[in-house]
Amino acid sequence: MGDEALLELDGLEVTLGGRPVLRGLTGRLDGRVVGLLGPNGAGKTTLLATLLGFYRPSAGTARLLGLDVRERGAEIRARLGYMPETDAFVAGLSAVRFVRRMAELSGLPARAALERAHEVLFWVGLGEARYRSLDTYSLGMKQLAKLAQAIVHGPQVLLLDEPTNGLDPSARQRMLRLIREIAASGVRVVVSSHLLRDVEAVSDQVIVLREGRVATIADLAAEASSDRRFLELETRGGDAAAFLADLAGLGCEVAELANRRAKIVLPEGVESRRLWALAEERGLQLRRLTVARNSLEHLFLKAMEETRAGL
Amino acid sequence: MPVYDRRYRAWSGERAPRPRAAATIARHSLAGIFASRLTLVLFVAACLPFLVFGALIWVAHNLDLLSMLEVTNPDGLRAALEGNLFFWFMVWQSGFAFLLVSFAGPGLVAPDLVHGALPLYLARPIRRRDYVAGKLAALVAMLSAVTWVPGLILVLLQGSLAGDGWFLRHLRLPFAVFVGFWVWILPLALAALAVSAWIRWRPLATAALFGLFVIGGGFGAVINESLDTRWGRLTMFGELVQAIWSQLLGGVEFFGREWPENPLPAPVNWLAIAILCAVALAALHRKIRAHEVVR
Repeated sequence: MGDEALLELDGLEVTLGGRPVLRGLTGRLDGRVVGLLGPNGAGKTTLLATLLGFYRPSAGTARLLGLDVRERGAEIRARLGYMPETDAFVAGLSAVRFVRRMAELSGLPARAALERAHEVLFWVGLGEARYRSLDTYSLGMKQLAKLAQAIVHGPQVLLLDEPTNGLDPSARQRMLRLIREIAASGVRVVVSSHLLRDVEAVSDQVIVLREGRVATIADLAAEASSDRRFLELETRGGDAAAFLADLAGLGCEVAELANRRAKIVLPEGVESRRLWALAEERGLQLRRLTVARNSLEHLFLKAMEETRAGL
Repeated sequence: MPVYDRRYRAWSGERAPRPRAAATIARHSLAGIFASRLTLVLFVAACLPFLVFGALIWVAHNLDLLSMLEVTNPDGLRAALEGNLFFWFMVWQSGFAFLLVSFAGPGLVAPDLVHGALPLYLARPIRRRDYVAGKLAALVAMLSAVTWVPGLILVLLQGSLAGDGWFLRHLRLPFAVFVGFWVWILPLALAALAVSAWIRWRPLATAALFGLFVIGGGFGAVINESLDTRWGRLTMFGELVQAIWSQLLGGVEFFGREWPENPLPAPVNWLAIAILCAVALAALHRKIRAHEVVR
């Protein structure tokens, strides 16, 4: 975890076009790399845009590095680097001119901005293509150019919106490696994505949004190091709902999946053989019982379930 | 950083606490404008009338040359030049300014909007007004170089050659040239930026600007003719501005008649220009945003 709170949300609400998009977000995030998760339309991009000052909160507050987004927007933006989800470049410019312009707009002197643009383009892997027009770049190259402009001025916090969107596997791995390296240098990072694996690969804390609300905030590092046991099971026949209720009664955390599948966390003192006994009592077959390694997926699905139940 | 060292290193050098965003945007925009060969050629062409008008002023005050040319009434020639020369210089340069804006203006905002670069600008300590001011400054700087700057130099040339307290007797002239050109270039630049923000395809944006000013003028002329009125001039931007110039210069004659003929009342001319500026600003305010909100 980082030294100071990266992000503090206190009843944050944002209304766009008369429609509430963020509904009372509350929580404190102090991870080095924070994953911002949620299904499409959950409010991830709106939250990032609000932190950047693009949208004004209709109620509540948000603080980034202790600075109120309402009152100290310019100060916050001076400390930020932002990589948007969608295409974002100036038509007709080469990568080096584009990144240089962004560096100058962040306050770097013109000469230093040019040097720094070359440096970061080499670092992200676009050194050989830096004089090419951005219009001719592939999707993966455009993502890297967006990352380059976001880090060119040495921000303290990096907001990355779907950084691996549309990338092939090798480009995706490269992007994740770059993010890890940036975080290792001391930059705080917020990664918004709907790809659980990508978020899990780089984050040490996650906030899950669903329909504009906080579904859960979890410390991934702590989850990974805990002694909890994650299992995935699949049933056939019998009363599956009652079986899952029995498991919950045993103290298991249960997240129901589609097609009679479920993910559970066994509490201390409960052995897996107890599940077989319960299944027999309920007259159903356990067709599959495997150790689920993806704890983030479990957290996510559980959060989705709980929020759905609470709605 | 050594080329073999590929670790990420954050920038730790100098950074202005409050970047001069508008100036930076203006500088980059000007570089972009003059990267176009066509705009550069137009700009050079727009500088030529200054030389021609300067030569006219010099000839009018060169008694030896006038006698060689057998000009019998040099005082009359000078008086004629004094009265209308600056008005016609303004008319001539306004045409060049319009052409320059038509070619350079649409390329200013649209490239930032086509591929969503605006959020990258506004994610930095830059306000929307800094962005617009920067783009506007680029256009206005280019237009100033072919309008009021050479205009004032001509006034100074005329004053220095005429001597004998001419400048003090014509203090109204530099004011008229300065204000008159601004009345032309400011709405023109604002309209070009607004069109560039709304129409992202450059040729169409250029056509739209022509449409706004040229077809608007034609439409006004048709209204005037068909309804036997003068209020069609409200859509004739050029006529409105020429009426203001004439007022600023204390009246202009063309072949012994007032020019422009039968103008609208002066406050109406000023109001129409102000409304055009306000509409352009409102269009920019609506379009220059990091994110559009779909209702």
